[in-house]
Amino acid sequence: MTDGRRRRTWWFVILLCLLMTGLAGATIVRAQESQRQRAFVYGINAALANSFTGSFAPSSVRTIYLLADQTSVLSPRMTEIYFWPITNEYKASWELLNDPVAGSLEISQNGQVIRQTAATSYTINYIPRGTESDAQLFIGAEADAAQARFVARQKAYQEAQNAYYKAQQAWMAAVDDANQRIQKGEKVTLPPEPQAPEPIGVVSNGVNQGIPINLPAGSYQLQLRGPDGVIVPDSARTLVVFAPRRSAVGYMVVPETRWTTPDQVTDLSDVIVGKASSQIYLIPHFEREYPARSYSLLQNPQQQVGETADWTWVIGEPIKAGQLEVIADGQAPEQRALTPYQVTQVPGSTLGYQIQEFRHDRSRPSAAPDLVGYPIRIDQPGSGFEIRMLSPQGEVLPGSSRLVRTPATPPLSILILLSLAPLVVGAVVIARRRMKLRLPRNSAG
Amino acid sequence: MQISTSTVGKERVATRSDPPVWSLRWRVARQIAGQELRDALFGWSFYLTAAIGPFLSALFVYNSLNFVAASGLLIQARPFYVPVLVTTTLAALYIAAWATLAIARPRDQGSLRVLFFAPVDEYGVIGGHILAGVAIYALLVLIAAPLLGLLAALTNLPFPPLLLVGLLVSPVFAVVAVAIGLCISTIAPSSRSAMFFLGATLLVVLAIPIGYTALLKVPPTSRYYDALLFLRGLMQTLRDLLNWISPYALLSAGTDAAMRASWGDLIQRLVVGIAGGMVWAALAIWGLQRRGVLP
Amino acid sequence: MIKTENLTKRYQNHLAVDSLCLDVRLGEIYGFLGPNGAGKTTTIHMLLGLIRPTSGQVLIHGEAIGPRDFAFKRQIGVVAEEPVEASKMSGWELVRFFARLYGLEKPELRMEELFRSLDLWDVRHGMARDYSRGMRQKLSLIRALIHEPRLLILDEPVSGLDPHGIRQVREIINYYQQAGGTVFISSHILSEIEHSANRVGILHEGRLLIEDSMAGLRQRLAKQQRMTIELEQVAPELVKRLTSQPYIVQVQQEGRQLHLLLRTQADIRAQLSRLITDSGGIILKMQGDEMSLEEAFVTITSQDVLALAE
Repeated sequence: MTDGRRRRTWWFVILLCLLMTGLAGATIVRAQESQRQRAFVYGINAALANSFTGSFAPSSVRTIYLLADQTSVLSPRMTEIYFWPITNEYKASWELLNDPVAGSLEISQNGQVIRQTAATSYTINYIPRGTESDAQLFIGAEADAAQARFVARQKAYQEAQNAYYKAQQAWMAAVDDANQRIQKGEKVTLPPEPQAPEPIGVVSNGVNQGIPINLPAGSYQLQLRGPDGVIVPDSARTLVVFAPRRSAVGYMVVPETRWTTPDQVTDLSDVIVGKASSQIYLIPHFEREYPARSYSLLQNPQQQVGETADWTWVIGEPIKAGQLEVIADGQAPEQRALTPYQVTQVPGSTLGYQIQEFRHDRSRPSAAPDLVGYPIRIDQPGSGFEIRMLSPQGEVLPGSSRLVRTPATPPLSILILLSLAPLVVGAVVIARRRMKLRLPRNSAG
Repeated sequence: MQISTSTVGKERVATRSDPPVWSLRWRVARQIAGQELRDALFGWSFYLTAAIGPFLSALFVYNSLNFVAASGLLIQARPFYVPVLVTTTLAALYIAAWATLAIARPRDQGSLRVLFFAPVDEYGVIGGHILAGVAIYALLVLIAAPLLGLLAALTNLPFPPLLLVGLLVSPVFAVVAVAIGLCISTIAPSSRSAMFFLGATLLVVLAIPIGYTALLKVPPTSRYYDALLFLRGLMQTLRDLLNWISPYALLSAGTDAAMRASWGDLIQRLVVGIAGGMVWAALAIWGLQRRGVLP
Repeated sequence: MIKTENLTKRYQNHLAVDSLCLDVRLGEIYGFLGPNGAGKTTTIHMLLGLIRPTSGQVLIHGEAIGPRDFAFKRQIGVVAEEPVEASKMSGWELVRFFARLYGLEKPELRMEELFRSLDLWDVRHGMARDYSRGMRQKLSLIRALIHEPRLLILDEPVSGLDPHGIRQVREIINYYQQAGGTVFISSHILSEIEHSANRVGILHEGRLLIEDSMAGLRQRLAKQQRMTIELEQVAPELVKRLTSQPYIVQVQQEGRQLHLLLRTQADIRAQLSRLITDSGGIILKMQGDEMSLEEAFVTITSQDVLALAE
């Protein structure tokens, strides 16, 4: 074996050992037992478009992300944290320790302290909306008032629930009695069923202490200064506040043929391409485009899975009022109203169901529409039109315009022949050139 | 035998009547650009490249139409964006390969030396090839654009006007691709090694974003996650750097900016493209001066 | 017209051109001679700025040419071995391309004149890369003449040409010089320039050993003569004795004939006869041959080139 070859073999062995050690190291980390440790963290209630998301930032999280021009709440806390290797992140044992840390939050930018805020009371009310919820933040005295209102509503609901329960029991007894009398041949009128009380429609997280933050887009430095004037250890963080790049109106598109698997129209350049003679329902919402990585870290500061896209559209609050305008070439614009629909199972039909306009059924007072949207009919092949949202005042909502098209389907051969046109041109050009440039047969050197 | 020799032997014309250097260089650049363009138009590779973009676009569009027929609905994100990107990227790849051989091959064959018998210098030669490369690219785009438009008309899918803007400004990014190819061509010892360098460069340019995307998909629960974090960070840094250097990344970002009507973004990319092209062109001139014109 | 001052080119350990001081005068035909590898092409490349000299300078019309200068090439036409043209141009298009590089806006008339003169008119629209070697050389000459340069630099100009082509080239060279142009011909074949050159420079291993008029060079080379002697019998000792004589350069035996290359022009027949007879040889015939300049130059060994320089 030559010297060079021997050297190369040794290098290979050394590199292989290093690689194995590295990989084994990863395994060794996994095998360690999680140990709790007392630590300073920031509890985060980060404002989203119409809701809040809760998370916390242990010391391993050096940067906190928040949305610009929206009020979020940071809560300095002492708790016990432990590393959870299964998800590769830290967890907080709030139930063991959850002490607020006194002090005022210093916010600096370019070395200058621009704000100093102490903790205050706050509460967040969540309003359920299907599988999601909207939320509202109350701060200071308003938080106490909101909580008082919530407690009162809770109490009223409990009383109404108790009354309903009693009325229900009485009604059940009356129904039993009526049944017996009917069996005896008597004519009986059943008393109306008692109505269950409307749900509260709001959930509160109670009144807590936290520091509200509402800043314009930019990068800041945070630290907590204790009552004694000393900076609380491990409280320094970078704060990145980011704003949306674009705001627009997006649509959930519910096709009649598969109403349980809707599509989403987000980007301004998205085009709705539908089959001829089909029906779709559009459910509009506001949306904003954020830097994907920042938004991901806003939701989970310990998020380590990267984002493949640089930007992401985030669906915001639904649009519940206004008209949808349909503009087709050569025709006057038509306006559609927001319409509730119900889906009725129809055995034997092609789809197995029908989508019809929702009608209140007295026998089922609690029934709700299955979807509420704007109906759009897509007609002939090769046609197209534009849709856009109008506010209740008749103004076009910015970023709401989209195109709807029914494609024409020429044969693939035509499309391919079209693409081969340059080759035909090339053949003609080169053939003519070659005919022009030809040495005479008896050309001598 | 009689040949006219009207100016032979006359006293040397005074220096001040010599045209300025920049005028000579511009003349050389124009002549070389015109000749290279004609040479390209008389070759099959030009027309093949012009056809491949629309061909792949036709397949892509047909696939979308099939999807609509099968599922009833398609939300087409940025129609024709991918076909335009494919077409412009193919054209940019073609001119990069063309530029990579533009100096190396005639130098190997000895015809570059003959060119320098005439009053030409490295500035005129490189400038001429850049002009030619951009002209070839622009022609490829001009051929493809109406074909894509026709495809849109036949299928009733919309061709966004803003995409046309992106297409029209894309030759600026082509300058970078040409200049990089010329730089490789002037520095490489032979035409074969020049093509090898180009291939290696393209592999790196492709591997970095693909590798980064692959590493992003490694879940935190994977046993290799920690070991790969450093590599992921490195790839991200390289990818971010490439976004400002690679002509293909600039092309993609520029077209995206045009689609979003983000003119500030687009102008920024155009300025970076022009600056990058000038830097690579300067390197190409330096490379030619250093390596010389002899085989 | 062209002057070089201590022009030197060194490649790592190899000195290609060593302190070259050339002086090509206006209106003359200068022959640049030397064996293959002497540094002739390297010198031409330095004159044209294709190679940067290690030291020294090139002056054209008394003005030093810097490494970035290129405008001076408008006055120069160069004929070198033409490579196979890679482009898709015809011969006509190729010449027109170069004409435009030289600043000629409408060169077609001049092009026709040249193409007809060199018998390329009928093949002008053929692809240049399909031309034979001789045709390519003629094309190179047309390309060099298209802009009526004041200085023609010809590097092996008749390489690949048939006798008719060679004659055409010589005519052009002479005609050019008569019109007042300056011609610089580089070759390793003396006969190529023998008929035309006014002055000659001989390059050997990168150094200019001789720079003289044609007549002067002839005189130096004509110090050699040949003699053929036919004997009844050739004894081996006789050949040895003849070879050891100081006035004999070389002895070649061909059967009973001895071909002698002599170093002197003097009449030494008596000495030779005496020597042969003393060795027991019987002379049947003795005849002197006059060497052509070409033969004399080609048969000279390297030591004798240095001897010529003295």
